[in-house]
Amino acid sequence: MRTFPAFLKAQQRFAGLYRMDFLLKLLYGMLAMYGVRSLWVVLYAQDPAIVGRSLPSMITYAMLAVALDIIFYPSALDAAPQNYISEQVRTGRIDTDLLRPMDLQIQLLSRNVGAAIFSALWLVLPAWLLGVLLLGMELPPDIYYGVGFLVSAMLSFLILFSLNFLLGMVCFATVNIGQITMAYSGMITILSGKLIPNWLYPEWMQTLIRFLPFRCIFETPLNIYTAAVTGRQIPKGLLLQTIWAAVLFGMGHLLWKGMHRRLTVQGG
Amino acid sequence: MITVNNLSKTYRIVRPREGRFSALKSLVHPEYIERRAVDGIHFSIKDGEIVGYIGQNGAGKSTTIKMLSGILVPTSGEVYVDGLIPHRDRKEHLHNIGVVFGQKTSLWWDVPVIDSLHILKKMYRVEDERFQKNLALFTELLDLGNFLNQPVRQLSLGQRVRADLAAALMHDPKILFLDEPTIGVDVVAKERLRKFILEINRERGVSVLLTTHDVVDMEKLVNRVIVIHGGRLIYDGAIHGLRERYGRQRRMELQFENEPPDLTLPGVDTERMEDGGLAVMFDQNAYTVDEMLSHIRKTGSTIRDIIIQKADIEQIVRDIYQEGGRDV
Amino acid sequence: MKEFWFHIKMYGALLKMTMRSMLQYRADFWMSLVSVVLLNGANIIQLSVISWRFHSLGGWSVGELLVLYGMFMVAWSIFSIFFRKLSKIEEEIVNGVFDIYLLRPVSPFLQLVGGDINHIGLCDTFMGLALVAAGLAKTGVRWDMEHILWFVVFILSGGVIVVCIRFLISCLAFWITKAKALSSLFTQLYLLTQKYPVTIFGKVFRVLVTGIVPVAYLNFYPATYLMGKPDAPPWLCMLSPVVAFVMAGISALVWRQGMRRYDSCGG
Repeated sequence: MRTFPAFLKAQQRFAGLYRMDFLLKLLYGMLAMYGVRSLWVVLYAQDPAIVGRSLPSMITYAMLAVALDIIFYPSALDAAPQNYISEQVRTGRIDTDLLRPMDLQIQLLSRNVGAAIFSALWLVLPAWLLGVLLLGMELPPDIYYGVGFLVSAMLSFLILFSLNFLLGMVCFATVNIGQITMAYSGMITILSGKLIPNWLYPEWMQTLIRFLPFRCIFETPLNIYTAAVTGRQIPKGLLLQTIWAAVLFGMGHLLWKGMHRRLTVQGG
Repeated sequence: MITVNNLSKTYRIVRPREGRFSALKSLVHPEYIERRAVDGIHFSIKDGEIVGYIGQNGAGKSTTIKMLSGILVPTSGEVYVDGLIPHRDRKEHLHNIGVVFGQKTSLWWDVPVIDSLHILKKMYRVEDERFQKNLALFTELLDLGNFLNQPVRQLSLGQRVRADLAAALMHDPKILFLDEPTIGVDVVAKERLRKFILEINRERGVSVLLTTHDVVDMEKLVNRVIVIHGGRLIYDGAIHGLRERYGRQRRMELQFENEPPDLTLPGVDTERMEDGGLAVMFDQNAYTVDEMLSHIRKTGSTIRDIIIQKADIEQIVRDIYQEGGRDV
Repeated sequence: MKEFWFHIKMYGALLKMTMRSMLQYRADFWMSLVSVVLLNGANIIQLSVISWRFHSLGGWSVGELLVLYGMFMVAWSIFSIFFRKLSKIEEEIVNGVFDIYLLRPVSPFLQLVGGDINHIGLCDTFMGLALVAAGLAKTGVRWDMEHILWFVVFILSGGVIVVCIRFLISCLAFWITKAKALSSLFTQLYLLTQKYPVTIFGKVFRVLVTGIVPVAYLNFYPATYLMGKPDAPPWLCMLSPVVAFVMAGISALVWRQGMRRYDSCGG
């Protein structure tokens, strides 16, 4: 696993050059958190019944979504698998990836994990602390929910990674994936519970969302943290996430295997 | 044409800091270090001269050129170019000069060369007739014909520099500043560039100040060299004078009957040659040839053959760079 | 006067060169329009769902929110069509292009601005106008001639303001390296003011986006005035051209200082 080297590299860069960047990004994150907080304070005042949960719980949900988003979308763009793959395909360097003994998927995962751990430690942890201290973010009710959230967030990360990797595979079909990427991230934004909690959607859409993996990315961990699910529902949620993660990761694996064979046999 | 009096340029650079939040500290309360890039230099260049401006990277060459072209304001001292103060009379001054950087083009990257020339014509308000005359002349002398209609990004380096030269001369400047015009260009193209520069200098009386690392440029192109080191002017004069002043370096190539000796003497460089011999470089101010030979004999080695050479300009310039020059 | 025409002519000539360069890398207009719709789709859906559920957001109906969102896009597009290069001073300095500007007898500012034109930005204009139209249709508000005139004034002022903000941040490159990081902070400000009425963020924020980084003049004040909202007094909204003027003045001063700084420090 190259997680640790990737993490170290990020660490070194951080120590050397980018401290100013870091502060600004933290501020940026705080501003975004303040933004969603204000939104829900106003909406709650308008109609608490529609929000459907207590105000502290709602703003915690919304602000934590912002924080998770920072981890999930690392600022080093090439840490994200779809960006890496599309760049390699575009420049024709994907051949070198084929020659490496290590599986591309694992390799990219470890890069992505390294970058994510880095931003989790240096951006999200401080942002979370400040959120708790200044913006009225709640703590999880007990350690059980807390740990449940952490496990769930990791599974979210794996699901998102697997989806991104699948998107990367599309690059082999068409180099120009700009619009596809946008549609894809729009879909995640809308259907994951990141921007709009899913329970606000019309009934038919909620049903649809239930059958899609996207809600496992944000809604599941956030609901655990805010104790919007009962303790007994937590394992169920985690299990569902695990299944999605396994299925999507497996699909990526098979697709890459196939692509690998095609590329090596046909010579690109 | 150019007069430079006691010219200095001091940069204030923010001192990088160590420790926590250093970037923030530097922003809020910067500490400066002063660095003298150019330190009290004097020279003047007459109409129609071609002067080589020589120095290591970081010696202050580019800073001088930038001050002469009006991009940088001197910290102290005076610069006059054709009676104008470059940074103060910038607009007028820019019509008098042409600048070519060997390392970067001033042409539009993605459009044909001829289009760049046309827009420069508009910028410098060159009259049609003059433009056509110049275009015809440069096309012929620089052999631009083949690639006038190609975008710059498709040109070879040599072609690109030729195009840049033509662009810099379209408005009939009186002075040409060339910053390493021949760097990276192949030998044939270099020769063509030199011929062109000489021709323009002779026919139009354009003064040329060029920086270069290329010794052939110096020997074939330049009447006079100015050497700068660490921001200070250390030599200004004819190129053969440079050889006289610094050229007491000797290179002695020796073949031995037995193993060549290890020679460790202060101020002497040795180098094993491919044929098994030993090259000894030394300065005649420090050792006479006789002294050197007796030093070698003392090691117990027997000399079979010997060649003694004068240092060439390349060697001299390298030495000046290494030592920072002796007092002028 | 002659100088003025010379500069206008030069701008035209520079743009012509730029357009020729861009023909090499032409982006498909229609695909870009799709991209713009996709990029903004999530926000539009979010606003729609919120106003469907809560009937309004801070007193703004869905139609009004669409006008708010659309006006931002239109004003922003003025920047992205004509003035993107102004936010790239740092790059121009680092790769040495800035020196070359200074070696030509034409204003470096003009050479900078003339170095880019982006017809794809029209996608933002179109989508923004479409959203404004949709918002108006939804609310049933009819604009008369006076409203339309004000709309134009607001959009132009907003355009000037956003250009100036981006330009001022970019000018920081004359003093500090890595000024770019700052711009992402401002991006976050826009992200908030583009889709939400600034009243929901409280007083401090409102002062910030009105008096310090006046992004509220891109859409909030204009929409407040044009839709007849009680969120701000009309005179404050109508200050828009004045704010634009002041921003332009500050920009000119900062640019001059920046150029002086560059003269004495180089790249």
